[in-house]
Amino acid sequence: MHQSFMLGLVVATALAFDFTNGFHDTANAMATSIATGALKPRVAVGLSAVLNLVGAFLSLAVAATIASGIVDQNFITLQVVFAGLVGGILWNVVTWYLGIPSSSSHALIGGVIGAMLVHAGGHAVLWSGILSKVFVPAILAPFVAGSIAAAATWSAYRLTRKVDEAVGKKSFRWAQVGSASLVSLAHGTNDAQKTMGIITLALVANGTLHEGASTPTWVIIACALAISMGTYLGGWRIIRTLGKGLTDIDTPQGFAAETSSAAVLLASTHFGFPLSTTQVCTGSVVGSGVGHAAPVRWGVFGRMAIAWLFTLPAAGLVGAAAFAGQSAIGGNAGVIVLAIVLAAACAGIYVLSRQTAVSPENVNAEWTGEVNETHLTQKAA
Amino acid sequence: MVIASTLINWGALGEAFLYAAIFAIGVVVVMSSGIHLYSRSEGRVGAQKVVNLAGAIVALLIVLAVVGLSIYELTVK
Repeated sequence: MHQSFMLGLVVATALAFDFTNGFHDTANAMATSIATGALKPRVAVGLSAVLNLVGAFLSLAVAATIASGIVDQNFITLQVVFAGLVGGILWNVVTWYLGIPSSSSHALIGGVIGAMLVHAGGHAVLWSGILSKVFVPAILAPFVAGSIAAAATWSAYRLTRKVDEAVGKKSFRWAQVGSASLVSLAHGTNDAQKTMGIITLALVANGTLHEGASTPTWVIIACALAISMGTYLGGWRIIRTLGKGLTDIDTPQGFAAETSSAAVLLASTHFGFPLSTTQVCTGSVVGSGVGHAAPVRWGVFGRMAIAWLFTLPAAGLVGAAAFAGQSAIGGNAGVIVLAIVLAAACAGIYVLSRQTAVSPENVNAEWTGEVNETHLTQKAA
Repeated sequence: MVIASTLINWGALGEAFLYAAIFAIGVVVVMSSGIHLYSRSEGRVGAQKVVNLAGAIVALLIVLAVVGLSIYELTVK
């Protein structure tokens, strides 16, 4: 009875994580298109939601478990996965409130590591895997994407310097729609698969599926719907930071940034380097500013970089506390209390965010230094 | 440094960087050239207009083909 209840809760929480992943990462594909006016905000998130849904179905290969190579799979239990998801969700919601784009995958990995440290100790964590799969890619991603985006942006402006401004703007707007769509599609394929992996892992741990079984169709459909609904909700606070906070973006920059993001994501996936979509897209936006010799707000980028450094330990701390808390209470009561605490924390942050709401109406308002500026409550004209 | 060289396959990383750069810069250059040709076709008549427009269409088709290949890559990975 306890195990079935636990499985149901893990599946529901994994879908909730997938939902937060969707709204947290809408900015990756659509922030520049919204900022340049290539797409209206609601149209952009709607298009991104549909493409995330399609992307989730594109690759039906067995989803790789996200914890593979990070923790010893033999020690994974439903309780560890649940506590890890709590850490991942809370970090996603907090960084959404602060308007900081950060890696949902790293948050989930951090949560699982924290829970695993309390559950089985340090020997169950594969530290070399964390270094090669999390830290090194996190450092490389923005530089790789940024340098390519800078070169692409410079080329775009160089080649179209004699083009009539109105024709150039209109043409690059259409091009941006295509490049943003490709990033959305790639995101749906990559990130929905991660949650599919988590749920499949839980089903195997529960004995519902045998080891090596393929992902059930209902899991694929549920994950696809969760990530696309989250995407449609639109993480406006992060869209605002990425589209307006880092640098002032024009359509050629937006096109170059999104094409670079898509290229880096595709190449890194093909060659087996797990780069974070968020860090790649952020690096591309900064690179597009550098390539056009436009002012880049390095202070805003610095805050993001610090958040990236803290993602793993912060989510890990929450994961560890969550696991310790549910174990201390024990049984169904422990997981119910933890689920209530998570829901209450998310609701509290949501209520707090309403005080300085960012919406489709004011997402493109002039950047004044903070996403939580009170003036944003007044809708931009 | 020793840790970094054992954990990271720098050769494959360099290859990934090279392919990404060729893809991104290539697509942007082809698309920008297409926009340039399209812009030049405006206000012109006769063969010059046709040549410029044809060039712009070819550029667009190349970009669409690359995007199509990318989607295929997504499905088979």
